[in-house]
Formats: sequence, C-alpha cells, structure tokens
Amino acid sequence: MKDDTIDEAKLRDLMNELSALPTSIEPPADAWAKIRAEIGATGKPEAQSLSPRFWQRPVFLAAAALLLVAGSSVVTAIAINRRGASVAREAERQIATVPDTNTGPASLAQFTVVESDYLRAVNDLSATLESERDSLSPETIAKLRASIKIIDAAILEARNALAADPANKMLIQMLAKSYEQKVDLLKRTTEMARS
Amino acid sequence: MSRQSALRKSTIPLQSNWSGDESSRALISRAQNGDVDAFELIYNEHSGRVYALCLRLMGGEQTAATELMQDVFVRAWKNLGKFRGESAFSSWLHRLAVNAMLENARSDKRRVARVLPMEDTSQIGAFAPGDSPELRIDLERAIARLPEGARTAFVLHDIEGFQHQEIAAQLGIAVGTVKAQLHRAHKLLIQALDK
Repeated sequence: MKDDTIDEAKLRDLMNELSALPTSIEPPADAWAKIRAEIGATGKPEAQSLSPRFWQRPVFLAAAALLLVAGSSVVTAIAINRRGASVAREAERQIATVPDTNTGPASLAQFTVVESDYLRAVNDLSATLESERDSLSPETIAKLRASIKIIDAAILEARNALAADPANKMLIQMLAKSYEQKVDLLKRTTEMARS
Repeated sequence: MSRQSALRKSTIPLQSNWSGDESSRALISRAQNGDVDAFELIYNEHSGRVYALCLRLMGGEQTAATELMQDVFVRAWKNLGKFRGESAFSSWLHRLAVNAMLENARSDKRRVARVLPMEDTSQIGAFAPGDSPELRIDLERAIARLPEGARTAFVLHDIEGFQHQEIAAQLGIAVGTVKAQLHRAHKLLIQALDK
C-alpha cells in the first residue's frame, strides 16, 4: 500500500522555510498606470446600494420573525418544561406589547444616546439571567442563544448600513427594533426564570 | 528589475487590521467618494501583498499575476462602496483576488495545460541547503510548480493564513478536499526538499 504519511520533522522544516518567504513582492512599476486608466474610465465607485427591499434581507426577516417564533419558543419551552398555562398566557401578553418605533431618533448621532441605554439594559439583563441560569433547561438556553445570535446579526447589519447612510430613518428604526427585541427577549426569559 | 531584487520583506503584519487604522479608514472613505489619489495610496499600501498572492496563485507567471492584480484593484475600486469595514481591508482585497483568480481559471481552460499532473514531481526544483535567497527562490519555484488545486490550498492556508473552512467556502469545495490538497502540497514539497 502506498505510504501517505508525512515526516513531521520535515514538515516543520518546510514551515520554517515558509516563514522566510516575503509576504510582499513589488509589482511591476507600470502596473498602476493601467489600473488608473481603467478606473478613470469607470468613474466613481458604486455607492453602497440600500435598495427599497433592504429590510427584506434574510437577517432582518429572521430577526423580525424572532418576535413571534423565537420569543414564543423560548417561553413555550419554559412553560412546557417547568411552568403552567398561566405563565404561557403572561408571556403571550408581553410578546404582543411591541413598542412603537415610529417616533424616535432621527439620526445615527441621536440614536447613539439611546443605544447606550439599550446596551446597559442588555448588560444588566444578561447578568441577571446568568445568575438564574440554573433554573433554565439546556433546551431553553440553547434556543435563547440561537435567538440572540440572530438578533445580534441584525443589529450588526443595521449598524454597518447606518455607517454608510447615517440619516436613514428606516435603518434607525430597524436598529432600534432589533435592540428592543433583544431587551424584550432577555427580559421575558429572566422573568420566566424567576417565576 | 529582476524578480529576485524585487523580493522584499514586508513590514505589514500578515493579518494587518487595516480597517482599524483611522488614517487608512479616512483614505478608504475618500476613495469611496471617487478620490483616485486616495486610491493610489491604498494601492501603494497593499499592492505588494496582493501581487505576492497573485504571483503565487498564478504559479509564478508574472504577466498573469500582474493582470490578475490589476483586475483585483479595478474590482476593488468598483466595489469600494460595498466595503463596510467588517473585516480587514487587506482580507477583503485578498478575497477579491481569490475570486478573480477562480473566475479567470473558469473562463480560461487553457490554464489546464499549464497544470502539472498531481503526482508529477519531476519538474519541481530541488532545494539548496541553508537559509539563503536562493533557497527562497527555489521554494517559490517549487510552490509555483505544484498542481493548481494543491498550490491554491497551500498558498491560502500556509502562506496567507486562511482557515480550512474559509478556503472551502471561497473555492466552493469540501473542507476535506482542502485538507487533502494541503496534504498533497506538503508531500510534494517535502519530496522536492529531499531531492
């Protein structure tokens, strides 16, 4: 049978040699001239397009769906695992209470003030939830983590989009909504864990 | 200028976090708004590393590597608006380079003729003893003569520092295939070292 093993010492020698290779090699001096000519003909770089359907990107749809799906699944998991129907009803009542984001900060600069409040709330709730961790089932914790991950992706996406378009009110609302979802999810899970 | 004299060690860390540098971010921002002079400064900063990558991906063919690098920077200019600072600018450029190389490979079937059979090591240059410029040139030559798949995996993983999963995603192949190609590359290079 053909020997397919590699001598470790020889592999180490190879890696040592590799580390001596240059990470940068000077390109031909006239290379830039062609690039400059071509981009001169191209014109200004295309602006980052925030299409009217920007909000329909998967990450936003996933985050929006969380309000109903992930939130209720976390609560349902708790309700099924450890609580009764009264807890589930309370959770459903809280899910239905979605804050109105039509009024709020008009620019990214204004939003950063609000954002610090959200971040403080998230930190406080996360710390509280961590202290109540033992009263949650592994399944619930896993669902919560998955939900938070999706919301965080939506926050990052909106944050980056806002960096390119700081006055876009729709994006500010989306960002605010995502933070609200995160705070709401943490808050409800904490309350459920304590009840 | 000979290729040997063109080789120079870079002062840029392998995974430099370009997006974290304020002056560099300002340059990117200027370029995003159509400032070609700012883009030239970006080119001066990154062309060495991009050219080194292109040269290795293209098996040491300088003309092809120069054309690929020019293509990468033209693409970078056109797509600058899409760069949102989520990753290091150098990583973004490298992804563009790999994508451009793959597209070129797909559209240029003649490249197949330049690729050595997987097990053919007869044309791989022998290494000279000791750490010397000649050794590095020989190592570069040996890398250049690797079969294309093995070379791409080797350059991206062992020289550029990409993870198996990242390479698999970029190349559209399984992680296991990346590892197999890498193993082949190591084996062929060590065989050349032993000659």
